[in-house]
This record gives sequence, C-alpha cells and structure tokens, in this order.
Amino acid sequence: MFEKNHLLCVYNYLKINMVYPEHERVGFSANAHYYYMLYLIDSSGPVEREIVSSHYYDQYKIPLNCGRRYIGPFKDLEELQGFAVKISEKINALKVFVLSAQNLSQYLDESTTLPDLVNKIITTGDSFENDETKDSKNSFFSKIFK
Amino acid sequence: MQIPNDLTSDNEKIFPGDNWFFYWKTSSALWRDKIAGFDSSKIVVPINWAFHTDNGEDFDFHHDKPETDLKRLEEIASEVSKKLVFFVPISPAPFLVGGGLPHILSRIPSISREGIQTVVTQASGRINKIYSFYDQRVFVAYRKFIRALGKFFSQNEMTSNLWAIECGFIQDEQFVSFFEDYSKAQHETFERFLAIKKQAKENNNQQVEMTHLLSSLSDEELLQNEFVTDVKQLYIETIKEFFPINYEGLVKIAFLGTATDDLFFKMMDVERQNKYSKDILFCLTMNIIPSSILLPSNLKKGIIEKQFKDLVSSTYLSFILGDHMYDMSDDTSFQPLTNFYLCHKNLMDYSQRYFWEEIGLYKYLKENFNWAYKINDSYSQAATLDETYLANKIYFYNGVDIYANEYFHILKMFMNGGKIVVENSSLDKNILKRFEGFFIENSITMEMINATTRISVGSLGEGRLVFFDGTLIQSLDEGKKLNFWSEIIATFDLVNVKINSEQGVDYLWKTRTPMKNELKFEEVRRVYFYNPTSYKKRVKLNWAKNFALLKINEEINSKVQHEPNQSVIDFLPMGSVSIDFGVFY
Repeated sequence: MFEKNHLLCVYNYLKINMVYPEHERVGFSANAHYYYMLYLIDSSGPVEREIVSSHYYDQYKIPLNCGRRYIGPFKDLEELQGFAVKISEKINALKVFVLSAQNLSQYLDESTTLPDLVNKIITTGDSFENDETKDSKNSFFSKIFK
Repeated sequence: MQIPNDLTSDNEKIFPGDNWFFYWKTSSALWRDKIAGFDSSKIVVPINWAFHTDNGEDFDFHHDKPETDLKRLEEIASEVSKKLVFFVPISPAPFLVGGGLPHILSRIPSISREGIQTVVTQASGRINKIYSFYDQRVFVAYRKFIRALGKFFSQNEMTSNLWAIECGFIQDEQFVSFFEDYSKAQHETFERFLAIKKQAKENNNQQVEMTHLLSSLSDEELLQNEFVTDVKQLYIETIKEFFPINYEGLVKIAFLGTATDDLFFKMMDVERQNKYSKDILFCLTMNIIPSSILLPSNLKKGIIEKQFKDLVSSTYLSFILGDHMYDMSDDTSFQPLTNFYLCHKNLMDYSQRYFWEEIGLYKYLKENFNWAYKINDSYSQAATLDETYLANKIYFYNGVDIYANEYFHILKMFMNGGKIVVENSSLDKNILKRFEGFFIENSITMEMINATTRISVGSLGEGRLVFFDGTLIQSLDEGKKLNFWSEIIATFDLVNVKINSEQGVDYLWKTRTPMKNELKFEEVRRVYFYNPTSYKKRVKLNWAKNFALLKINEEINSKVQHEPNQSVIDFLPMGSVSIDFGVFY
C-alpha cells in the first residue's frame, strides 16, 4: 500500500488555453498539446504550491501560471518525470509513482476496491526512487547497527 | 491502507443521513417500523431507477418486488404522520451503483475533465464506477422510465412533491456535475450537435466551415457549454412533462467525499475534514445543497454534523421539504450573506475563471469577506433589479464577458442604484463606445483616478460604475494587489466586522430582516465560527460602529471574551460558536 513517504503523480497530455506570452518566449505554443500534472500528492495532501512553483521556475525560467489545479506545461514526458523526481527529493519522499490518466483509468476499470487499485499502481505503475533519501536512510541505519 | 470493516450500521445504510431513506435497502415489511421510528417528520426518498427495471423496458412499481411499491411507501408515511419528498436524478447519482443506470445500460464509462474514469469510492472502500448519460440509449430508456413512473404516480394519485436533482461535488470552489463527462459517448453526441448547428446555419443561408464554427478554443468551449446545457435540459424537461402536478423544481446537490480529488486523498490516507467543512460553506453561498450521505460515519460527526444542523437543515432542507413559507422561527429566516458577485460568461473557460484570482480579488475577498461572495454564470444570472436587493452588493465583470445583454443589464443595475466594477482592458471597443455614449447622454461625469492602475468612476444617485485596467494589477506583488482592492472596496461603504482568524477556522455570515422587537436595526446578522482542526485556535473580531452585539449562541469547545473594541474567541479542537449582531446603516 502507499506509505507515508510516497508521492503520487498523475498526468495527462492536454491542450489547455493557458499558454501566455512568457511561455511562448521559452518555446511553448498556444493551442498545442503538452503534458500537465493533474495531481502531485503525498500523505499530507497536495504538494505545496510554493515548492512546485519554485521548482518550475528553476526548470523553465517562467512562472507557473496555469490556474490553481494543473502543473505545467511540460514539453515531454521525460521532463515531467524529472520534475516529479526533483519534487520527491525536495520533500524527502522515498518514491514517486508517475502514471498517466489513461493508465489510471485502466486500473480503475480493473479494480473493485481501493486497495486493489493501490496495489495495481504499486506493482505495475512507473515509479522512481529518491536515491538521496534512500541513501541517507541507509547510512543512518548503518551507523546505528554497525 | 486497509479496507475498514464496513462500520456502517444497518440503520445507517437505510437512513444514510440528511433525512434520506433508501427504500430498496430494506424489506417493505419493515418500512412502517423504520419510518415511524425516524426522528424527523420529513423524509427524502431518492428514486432508484435500476431497482425498478432489469431490461430497461419493463418496470416494476408493485408487481414483482414489494419494495418497488412507492404508493405503499407514501401511504405508510402518511399513516405515521411523515411527509415524503421524492428526488429524481437527472444526472449520474453517486449514491447508486453504476450512477443509477440499469446494468444493461451501463456500457460507456463516464470520463472526468482530467481524462480519468469517473468513480466514487464508498465508505467501505468499494469503487463505484459511473457511466455516461450521453449514450443515446440511456436517454431513450430514461424517458421510458420517467413516463412509466409518472403514469404510476398519476394513476395512484400520489401527491408527494418531487424534485429533479443534479448530483455533483465541489472541487476548486466549483460545483462539478456528474453530468459533466468527456467520454466517447459525449464526444459522439457533441459531434452530432455541431452537425445540427452547422445545418441550421446553412438552412439560414449562412455558409460556414466547421473550422470556422470552432475558430478558437474558447469558441469550442462555449459550444460545449451550450451543448451540455441543452442535453441536461432534455432530462429536466422529461421530468416536467411526466410530473406536471408533483414537479417542484431542480436542485443541485454536492456530495461530500465524491470529488475526483477524494479518490487520491483516500489512496494516500489524507485527512479531509477541513476541506469538507469549507465545501459546506461554499455550497451555501452558491445555492447548492451539500450532502453528507456518502461520508464515512466517523466523519459525519462533530463539526460536520454541527454545520449541517446550523446551516443546512434549517435552510435548504426546510425549503425543499416545504416548511420555509410558514416557519417564522429565528433560525430558518437567516440566509447566507452575499456582498459580492463575480460574473463569468463561461465557467468552463479556465483562463477567465481564474482571472479574478490573478488580479488578487479572490484573496482579498477570502481574507476580508469570507464566503460573502458568489461566482455567477452570467447565463443564469437573474435579472433582479430591485433596489433593496442591490443594496450592499457589488457586481464584478470581466470586460471580455460583456456582450450586449450584459451591457444592458449593467446599465439597468447602475440606474437602479447598483454598484458595478468592470475590468475594461478586454472590453469590446463597441461596447466601450456604448458606455461612453451613455455617460455623455446622461451627463454623467467619469472621475478619473490614476492610482495603481487607471480607474474611472461614474455615479448616478446610489449607483456606482467603476472601470479599471486589470493588466497592470496582474504584475503587482500580492501585498499591492490587496491594497488596491482594499482601497476600491472601501469606497463602497460596505458594513462589515473585521475578523482576524487563524488559519483553519472558518466562518460564514448570514442575514435576516429584523423582528418586531429589533426595528431599530436595518438587518440582523449572524456569524457562525467552526474550528474543524485538531488544534486550538483564536479569532478576533474588531468592533465596528455599525454593529451591536445581540447574543452569543452555543459556545461549544469555545469561549468568547470581550475586550475594549474587540471580542476574542478561543477555540479548542472541533469548537464552534455563533454570534448575532444588529446592524445599522
């Protein structure tokens, strides 16, 4: 099941009328499809907008400005996944699960209960471990038990 | 995370809350005892379409299963002095399996705006999948069912009131209907709608290319909005047609715990009580009925239960159950206080929806006039021009949303003493000229103020019309945005009490007309405070000269103390209190 230090990211490939002049300066086009995170959430709730905005600015040098709900745009899936990993490092999450809205819908269709669904995401969904947190955790335990 | 053993008692499965009765969940032989033993004299009965048919063609109202005999149910209720009200969904209903569709019609899953299959997780952890109402077979079958149900009501002379209900949830301070669906069925029906529109234009000798019909993203969204409204109206008209005597109207019901967000929060075990508390208050400002029937038992208690008792049962349920016209008690005559209306043409246009947030107005209103604002879809805006109604209210318009109808409505409000604020950077040039022409013809001097941005103000009696350029506001920092709005709103002389509350405490103002012994006041206001958090909190109310303290009601886990020029309320976790004020203008 999801643990306290897991992060969940759900994304979709959308065309949303939220590309502003500053986006166009860095290569985004209005009326085009891009990747957007729909949910970025851990056991405390959605990741704080300030953290997300700050990292987004670091990545693209433009403000995060696509309404209060979505995070994006991202030019491709790799950039989105990389962003998710950076956020997991920032909030010390052990692992981040990244799945598309389509995959999630498929899992929902195949599941009858919430634990079923969570199990499917954990066993078959894409995930990325936060090596920094894992290493620091391992070194902490290794100090205690050496 | 584990599925909790389903702790819902048998009685809670039949009476899930909010005066609802699920007649299909118990034997009809037990109806009398169950209904007679229910606390309230008023009971809401939602109709379960799938329970009355297996094949969508033949309907059972008392033939096979005695539990389908709604006439018998009405008779029993009358015999034990209970009043029934029937609810008929015009959208997928999250409290019914499959959203309420008979199994044979549950073919095409409904898809949310995020592109995720729409599901609702029950308290037991089971996933209830919702199916599309845009499937043509569904509407045809729905119409057959409603016709049969209407005939049954009529032949049996059933007199109970019946309401159409649109089911939804609250997400991002919006009501999202379960009718909203982006499935294949919806897409195919939308394509047919576009073809009909194109045909209609061609029949009117208007040559039009499909690409021109959808020349911009916002055009497509406007057409989507029109399409969804039209399809929904088909379902509503079906009920009106077959229940000419019983039909009372349409209500929107927001079911707490059923938002798309809730799926994720449940997976991550995130505490949501704060969020549900806010959702209840939001619903009240939007004339939406909040419902707790799908919350787990443990979440329905405490603050949520108190809010329902204070804010929901005494107003909306009384209205629905027909008592409001006759009950003149103190509680039922309070209505949510609304000072601000933010008017949007198209609530589905994301960029416009967040416009007021980008220029800092939302943040200002939340901090200073919590929940005293409403977001209006100008399509449904009532043409209320009564002077009394317009007093102490300010209407906000984004220029891009102002077309001919809105232009005339704004002028009528202005001439009747209304107060309107218009962001004019995106105002159509012709509409702007018409405004200018109106001011010249009526010798209204526009006062120009160059503050943080360009502002021009016109006055006519009590009426005020303020134009401002929002593009300069967007680039300001948060503090300057708040200052800007503070200055603008201060010029309208609204009366309110300044409240400083710690984060987590929520409050809502209600208002009513004075009673016979309160005639020295213009109105009586009540503020309800709730602390749904697990922490102690403090709130300070700064005394305003227009307000006289009348009484403090029900201090629960809270204490009110008066200091010079202010009152201080200390809350324990899950504390609440309400305070009445007489208001002078």
